[in-house]
Amino acid sequence: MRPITMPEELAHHRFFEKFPDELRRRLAECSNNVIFEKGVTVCTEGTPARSFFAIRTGRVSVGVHVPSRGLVSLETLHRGDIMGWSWVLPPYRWHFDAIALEQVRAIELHADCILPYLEEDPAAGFRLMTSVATIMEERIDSARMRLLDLFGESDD
Amino acid sequence: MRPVLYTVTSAKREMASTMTITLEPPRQVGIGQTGAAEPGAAQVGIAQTGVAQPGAAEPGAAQGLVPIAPGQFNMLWSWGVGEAPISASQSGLDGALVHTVRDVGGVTKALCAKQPGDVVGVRGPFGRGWDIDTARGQDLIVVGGGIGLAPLRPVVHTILASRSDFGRVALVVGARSAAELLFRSELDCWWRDRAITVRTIVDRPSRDWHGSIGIVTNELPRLEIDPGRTVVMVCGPEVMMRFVALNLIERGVAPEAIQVSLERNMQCAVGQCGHCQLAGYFLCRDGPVLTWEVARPLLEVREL
Ligand SMILES: Cc1cc2nc3c(=O)[nH]c(=O)nc-3n(C[C@H](O)[C@H](O)[C@H](O)COP(=O)(O)OP(=O)(O)OC[C@H]3O[C@@H](n4cnc5c(N)ncnc54)[C@H](O)[C@@H]3O)c2cc1C
Ligand code: FES
Repeated sequence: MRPITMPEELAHHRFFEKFPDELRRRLAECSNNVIFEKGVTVCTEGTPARSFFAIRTGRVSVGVHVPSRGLVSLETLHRGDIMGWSWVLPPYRWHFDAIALEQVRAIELHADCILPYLEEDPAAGFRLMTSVATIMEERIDSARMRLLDLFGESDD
Repeated sequence: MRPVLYTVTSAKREMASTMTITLEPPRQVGIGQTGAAEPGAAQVGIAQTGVAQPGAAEPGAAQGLVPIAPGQFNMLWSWGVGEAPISASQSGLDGALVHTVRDVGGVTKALCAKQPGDVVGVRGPFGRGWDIDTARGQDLIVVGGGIGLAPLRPVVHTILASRSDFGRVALVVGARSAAELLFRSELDCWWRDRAITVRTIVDRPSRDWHGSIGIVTNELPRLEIDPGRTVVMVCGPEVMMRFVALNLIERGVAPEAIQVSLERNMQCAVGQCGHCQLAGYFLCRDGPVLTWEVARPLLEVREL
């Protein structure tokens, strides 16, 4: 059986599955597979964010380091999720910490390779940015709903 | 309709403010003849509204009440405090009733304090529950938030009892924290059995929680769905139900395939007092379960 190619891998990931073939092919040229073993740091707040990750398997805990409490987890990302949009916006630094909760297989997409292509082809850039904005919207909706504290008083 | 006096046979604490009580019907027919009645119970001072809706069996005619279906509710009455609508958290039992109650105020506090041997007045069953039959042969997504899992538990029991009647089944459960996940040990069993997909997600994780963090809508994009053959049943805070419905409609699920259970204050529970009225619907009689197609315009009528 021939090995699966990067454009095919992207086509299997829900973030990219509806992208035009050409955009997927170009993104594939900017991508490589990565594995994070359990407990390994995926990114650290304040450090340069020059890539983003499309999670293929495993779970990543995203959180913020709070003095005396350690890493306070804010969300868990899974297969099919995208991690990171700090690569899009200056000053291109991660806004949070993330660690692998178990072995994580992901596709890493590199900003230095993607951004020039997006500037060259605004239609492709628009397509990718709309998808990133959709993810941002999902996360903001979720954060807003959590602020509502829907389930009322704690039982703890 | 007067309450039939049931006896509490077990009271199980689910978490700090939530209890599951099992109630057995009186051995003899009729009110005030059980021997277990509290003083004055036969002359209960609650609204009397006569008989149930036309066409329905007269509840309470025999020893117990007619069996309650998943998604239907009973009015549970605590002596000297009042009545509250509470869904069945288990159904298909021979005469016994199982209700899971969260203590949020007067009546629910009294119900949560019940001990074996205590008496609870019951009127019911009322309303239209989940339309499980439309889900046979289809995929089903069941979404419960907080105490909202209680009325959905009988749905899961029904599915597991005839698993092959359904396609893919996913249960998504949200709670504030892991400690507040209702029916935690049962959820673990369902998760281990793998007969259905079980996803739990908590809003405020403790340090030892390694599962998903967020709200139930975060889990939906992670489910593979075939929108044309998916039925959805949702119960939880109204905002949560709204976002779940919108999320799934965006993915192509038909509004009429989404069932939600709405909550409004109730009094008579038989479509007469108007307490539970939303536009032209009486939730006690036409609900509490409605399709999203019907519910959405009703919820758009905002309270002042
Ligand atoms: C069809 C239906 C099925 C229901 N099934 C269940 C069930 O299975 N288990 C269960 O625990 N509850 C269920 N409820 C909710 C339950 O009926 C109410 O919590 C109860 O009536 C509140 O009465 P109370 O006297 O305890 O509180 P009250 O003294 O009337 O209220 C005390 C405080 O609680 C608030 N409150 C009132 N109702 C609710 C509510 N529904 N949710 C959150 N806060 C509330 C009030 O705003 C007030 O601040 C159901 C409601 C309906 C309409
Ligand atoms: S509770 Fe009286 S009409 Fe519904």
